[in-house]
Amino acid sequence: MADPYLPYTVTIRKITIENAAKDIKTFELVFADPAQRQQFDFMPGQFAQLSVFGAGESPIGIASSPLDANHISFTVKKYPTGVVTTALHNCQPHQTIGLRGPFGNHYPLLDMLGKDIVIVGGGFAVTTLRATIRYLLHESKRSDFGKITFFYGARTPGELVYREEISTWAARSDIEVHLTVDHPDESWTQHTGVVPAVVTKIAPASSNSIALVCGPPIMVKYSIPALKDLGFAPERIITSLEMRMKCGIGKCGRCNIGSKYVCIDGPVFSVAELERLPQEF
Amino acid sequence: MSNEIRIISREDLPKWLDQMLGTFTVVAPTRQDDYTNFGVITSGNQADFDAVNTRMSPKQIFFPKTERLFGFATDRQQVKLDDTPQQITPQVLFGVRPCDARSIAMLDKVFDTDVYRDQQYVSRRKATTIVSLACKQLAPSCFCTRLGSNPADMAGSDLLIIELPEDRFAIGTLTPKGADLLTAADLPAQATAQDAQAFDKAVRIAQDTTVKPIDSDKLAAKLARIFDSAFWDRWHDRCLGCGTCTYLCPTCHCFDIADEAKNNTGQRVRNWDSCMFDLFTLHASGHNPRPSQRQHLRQRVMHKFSYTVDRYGQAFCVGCGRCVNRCPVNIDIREILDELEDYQGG
Repeated sequence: MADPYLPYTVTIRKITIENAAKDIKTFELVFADPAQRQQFDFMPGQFAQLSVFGAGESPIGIASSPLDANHISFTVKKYPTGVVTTALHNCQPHQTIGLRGPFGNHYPLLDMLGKDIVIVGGGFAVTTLRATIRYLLHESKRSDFGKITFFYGARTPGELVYREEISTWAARSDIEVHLTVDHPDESWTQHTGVVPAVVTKIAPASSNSIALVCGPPIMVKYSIPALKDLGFAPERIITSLEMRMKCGIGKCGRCNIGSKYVCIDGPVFSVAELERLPQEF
Repeated sequence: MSNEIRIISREDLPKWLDQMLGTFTVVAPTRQDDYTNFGVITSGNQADFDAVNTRMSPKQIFFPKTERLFGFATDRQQVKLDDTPQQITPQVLFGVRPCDARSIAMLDKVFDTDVYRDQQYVSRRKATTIVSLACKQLAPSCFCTRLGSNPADMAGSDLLIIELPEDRFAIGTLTPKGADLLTAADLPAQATAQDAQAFDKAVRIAQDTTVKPIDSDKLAAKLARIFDSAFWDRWHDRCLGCGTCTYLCPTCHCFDIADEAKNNTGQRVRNWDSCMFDLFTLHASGHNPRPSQRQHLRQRVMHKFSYTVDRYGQAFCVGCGRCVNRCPVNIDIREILDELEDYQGG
């Protein structure tokens, strides 16, 4: 058995600045040993530990699809107090960093087969949802799923990430995209207002449907009742949590909610599961 | 119960340790000023066979306060990792009290799982033979019996030594590893049938307790039920958040992982951490799901008496009493347990 604390070494192939504030960047990584990409067998919704040697490790959701064969990408927001996120943002292309994982569970793709999929994202927490959409839209997968409706919002247009990619999705006929911002600028032509309100207005059908929600806590909090009002059962509303983590493998003891560890029992939980846990997150 | 019993006199105990020193590193309780702690001995005479409880638990023998996970050297583009395993030599952990031995069996459930095996921990466990010493007397802070254990509990031990009258000790063999240690030694003599009976009797007496143990399943369910109750409103009032309880606890195993580096070379280390600290759960975003001492203390009690019952099937407390003894503000887990059992609020 491999040492679960020893990271792969990966090289940064490309860095993309994702937002107007320039504190969100996407890092496209390639494995030093290409065979390791095969070993790194993951599903959308899982996360990994990224490390800058000397600064430390941080758990980050995987933003690329498992069907993106050659690379793996992560979108990271820099926080002023975040030692690792700051170190990552100071990295340059061709630099080598550490990658441990994949960790945690994933979105319930088996349960999603044949169903309509409603995806609700906010801010930069849309990363693992982006991985999921890339997966669902892949030519080998798209016919396995029903209608896909994607809601995505941020405070301002400049804070919406993956803008170019999302506009290619919006141009397709097999996914419906609804973008919204709290504070539009003069060029904004799409929805205005918070994400849950747009979900309520568009009212996607809940029959034979499953909803994936990931965003800032406040957005998740109000999206859940909005979806319930549309008829989504708590078992059919799926969300993903984040916690401070160190090991990623259920030993270091800090990412628990009740007796569940977000790192191994999550990060993906149904609302039905969360309602059975202490509200401590 | 034990397959084979051997007998040794008090006088010969240090000599037996001297024999082991030829083959093993021997770690035993040693006196340090007014307390005892586990330390590597170089002569059998250094071991203290009467220490009721060492100040620190022996968990650090397997799960050190700080340990290197791997080393690294970086330049602008390249990184070299050094994951040479640390040298682990065969050792004997001697004179462990049964509560502490039991705690090691609990830590095994955390660090030695089928999915993720903590290699350094498991290597040390494999290389170590645990020789426990049943307690003749309980300290005022001891409460192993409330946790369903007893002063001659065999969980986690390879050999269990019980003192008999007239300065003689009976050694019970509990595992093949323990048997190997005995086979290699010529000092402990074969026991007579009478001695074997005396060993079994002592075990029975230790188990025969009038203390009613907590029903850990019932307590776990109750704790889950009263998570949001007023029960948690006052215990933390005087808690300083110093973390002493968690560091001394033989079953507390939370850790931090951090990088130490200078001039592009360094190591990733794992350090003991504590749920009593704010930083323990603080996100980079500034959000903290457990920001107050009330929540820290509740987490500690819930983790020990509810979450571990759900995950590992038992409460992670062995009743060693270290947290009771050393808490600077006298927060007493036994009182919390008493009140929990009686608590009727929801």
